[in-house]
Amino acid sequence: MAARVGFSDSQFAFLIIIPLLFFNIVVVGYPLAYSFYESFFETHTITQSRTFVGFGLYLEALKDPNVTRSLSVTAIFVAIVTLLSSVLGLAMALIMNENFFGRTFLRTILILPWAVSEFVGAVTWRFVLADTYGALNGFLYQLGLIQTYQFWLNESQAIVWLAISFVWHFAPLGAYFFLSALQTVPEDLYNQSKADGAGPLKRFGYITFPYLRYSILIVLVLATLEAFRVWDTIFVITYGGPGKSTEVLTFRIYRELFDFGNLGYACAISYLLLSIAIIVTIIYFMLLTKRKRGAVGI
Amino acid sequence: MVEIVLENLTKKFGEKTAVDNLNLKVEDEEFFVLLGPSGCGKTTTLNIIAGLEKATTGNIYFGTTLVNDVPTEKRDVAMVFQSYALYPHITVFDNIAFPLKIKRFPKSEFKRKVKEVSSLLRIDNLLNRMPYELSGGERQRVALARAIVREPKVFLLDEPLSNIDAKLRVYARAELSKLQKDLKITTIYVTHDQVEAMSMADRIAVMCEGKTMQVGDPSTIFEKPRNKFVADFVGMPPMNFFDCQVSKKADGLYLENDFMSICVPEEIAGFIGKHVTTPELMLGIRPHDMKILKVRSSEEDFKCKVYAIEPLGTETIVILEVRDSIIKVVTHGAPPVKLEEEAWVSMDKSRIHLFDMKTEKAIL
Amino acid sequence: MIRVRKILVYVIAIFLTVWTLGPIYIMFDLSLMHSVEIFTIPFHFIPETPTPYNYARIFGVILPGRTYEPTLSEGALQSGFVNSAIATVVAPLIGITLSVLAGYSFARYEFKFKGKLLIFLILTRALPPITIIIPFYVILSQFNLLGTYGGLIIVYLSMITPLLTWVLIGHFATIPIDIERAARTDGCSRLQTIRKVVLPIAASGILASLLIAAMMVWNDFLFALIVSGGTRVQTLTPTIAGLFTNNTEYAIMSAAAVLGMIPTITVALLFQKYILRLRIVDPITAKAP
Repeated sequence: MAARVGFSDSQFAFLIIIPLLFFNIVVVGYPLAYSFYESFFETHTITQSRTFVGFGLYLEALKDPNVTRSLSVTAIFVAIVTLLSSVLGLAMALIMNENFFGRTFLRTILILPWAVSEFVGAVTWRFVLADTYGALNGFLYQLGLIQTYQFWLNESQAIVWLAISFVWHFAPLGAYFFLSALQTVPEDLYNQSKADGAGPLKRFGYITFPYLRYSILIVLVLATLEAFRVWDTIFVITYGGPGKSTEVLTFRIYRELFDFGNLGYACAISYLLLSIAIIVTIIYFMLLTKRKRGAVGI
Repeated sequence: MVEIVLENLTKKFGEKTAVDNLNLKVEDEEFFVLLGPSGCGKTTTLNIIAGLEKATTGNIYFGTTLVNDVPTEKRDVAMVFQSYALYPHITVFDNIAFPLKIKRFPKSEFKRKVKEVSSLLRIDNLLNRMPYELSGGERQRVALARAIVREPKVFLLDEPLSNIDAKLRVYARAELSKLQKDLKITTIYVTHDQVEAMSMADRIAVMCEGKTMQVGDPSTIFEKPRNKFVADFVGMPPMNFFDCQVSKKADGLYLENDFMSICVPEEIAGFIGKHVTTPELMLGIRPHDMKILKVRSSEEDFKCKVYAIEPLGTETIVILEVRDSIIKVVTHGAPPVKLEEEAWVSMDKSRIHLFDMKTEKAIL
Repeated sequence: MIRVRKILVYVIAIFLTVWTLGPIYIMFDLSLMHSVEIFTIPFHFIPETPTPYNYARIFGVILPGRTYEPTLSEGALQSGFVNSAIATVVAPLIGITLSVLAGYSFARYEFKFKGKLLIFLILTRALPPITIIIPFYVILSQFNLLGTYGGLIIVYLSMITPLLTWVLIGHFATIPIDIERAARTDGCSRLQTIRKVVLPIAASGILASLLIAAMMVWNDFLFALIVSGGTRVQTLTPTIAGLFTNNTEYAIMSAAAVLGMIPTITVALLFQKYILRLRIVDPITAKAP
């Protein structure tokens, strides 16, 4: 071993981080900086034109009806996903916590939608929701619940179905957070309250819920973050359509560059998106650490 | 096989000073104990000697060599941790052989040494087990074996006996002592248990808040504590303390408070007279140096009420109340009094300790 | 009352089972049908004429009694599988090498900028993939790295290293510090301690994070599409996407999707308990040996 008498502990620590650091700065930092730089130029990859416009593109984006529509579509998507995945995830966790025949089986398969990937999930749901040959239509029709095949992915409802597809993929993750929180509840509390005559609703409200509070927060924020980043689902199932009714912000950015060639504009919008994402992450972090500083028990 | 010198050693963690200007010399082959309550800086000092922490200021010498900047792996110290820190992923044999393998000992050699050491510590039947299969006592011996096997310059032990059953601890102490004497390796031992310190040490450094309160051999520390902290910390049950006043009377010097009055023996009186600056002093007397009497034997005895009795077999601790203070007295066998009774307590005057109200001491 | 509860639990359990397995089953169902049957109305939940034809096509196996009509799809799918496999193996291995050292350093040491670097690491997780892929696309094309394995690996590394580092920090923090201190006093230098003691003990956690990273790469679509779409290194996901735009290829596409699901389902089923045991510890309060 060569004499490393010279390196202090903190020098050593810094030294071994250097490969990762170097990689991150070059491979992540540089593109981000490049993107930021490009957002100040109105560049068309097709026409090869390039003009400096300062913050012009950002202002244009905020006024662009395409962008504002994307924002509201994204907001609706995020809201539905957050709500549904919390409810579904909670239901899953509560069931997994119950003792019944087949519980292990259920527990094992519940994670599959998360394992299988957003992309494959979207491909499947694309087929399921298809209007002429889809499985959902076939299912409902054969059960006699509908008379004719429905066009589920229409302009007003498509985003809801996209959210459902995403929830299918995401909810198990939330379920696992909830489950680990549920498992910290001491059995004795339930037994005691049953002896005291409390019904299931009361038991949930007074005993279970306090232990769940923290994980509910985490799942809400996680769902929001993940829903903001959605892209695969949109591309696979609707490609932003019909019309532009399912163009979330990430997809709008994609189209601006890869379908219309507006490099600078795409960069500008993506930085707007990044800002929103950072704000949400900071809120997440603050809520997390605030919890740690304040809470003693639960 | 080396002496260790700590010179003006200070370690700060931000605002907090863990080790405050420590000056110590540990002699070659000595069993030196750092004794003190939790948080007094003894473990930090040990870590600095090992090189696991760096001192803020000060110097450490192994022999005549300054080792401040020598990294841990080159200091040739062996450390036994409170948690034993056995490597969980390898067998007992490999655990013990580990330091030798690092030093590139040839296989035949380290095999032999490991076998030697493990039969010495009577763990040779455990060599193929994994650490998680062992009991606490067995793990401790493996940790010791690992430390001994490479014959280091210094042994550093950080409360290695605190996770062992009380009964086994007595044996473990004796074994450790004997081991150290046989191996003749300079040893620094950290503990908060003064019984351990007293029974095993050649010399003890009593520490408090990063400073040494007193350094000396066990009997000196016990008989001649230099300040109240040491007097209080060493000795079980701890010393009793009373506030009192010195007053000069016609027939000599008296120590008095609201329940007792003691005439100071002549030999000591002169000493007190010279060294005492204020009339308020603290008197200390060990529970073993007091007696309980049913009947008053002298003017100097004082009356107390029996508050509790703790029979320990050959000895009994009697806890008494006098005015607002609690004192403890140790009697051999059963005491002559029962609960809630009144009793007289007498002191052996030759065993009195006197302390300045500010932590200093005047005489034995 | 208890019986009602039990019934409710079972009802919900059955619903969840159908909900969870339904889509996966449908994919599986599709893969066993001919194109003709796929588009039959109403949808057949159980194939009336099941056939391994789709799988056979992917594997290039010629079944007796069927005329073999080779199309571009098989070749594309086969290379798609291979390319995904290459990326899934190479990227996590390189990623782990970078992240292990960094993760250990964050877990054990204090140093200048540590706080700021950690924040940078967290924010990298907040990055929406689309934001980074745009400049990646432009820069990679400038360096002629689009459509190459190199470009793909670089992009995937940027995707997995933040998560890998984060998980490893938490994992290293759970190793008792005294063990590393023992190694130091036993004569190990800092690097030797990492090599001989820390890594073997952390091995299971490292393996678990490798699996997570591998799954992320295998399942990815956006990065794969942009960097490898339409090129000879096109991975599995864009290849499958290319097939559902062409309706007649739904059959072979679903077979490919099922095959694509097998690795991740296997990992999820076998290693679930294992990966979930990875405790994530707050790296800010961890200590140095």
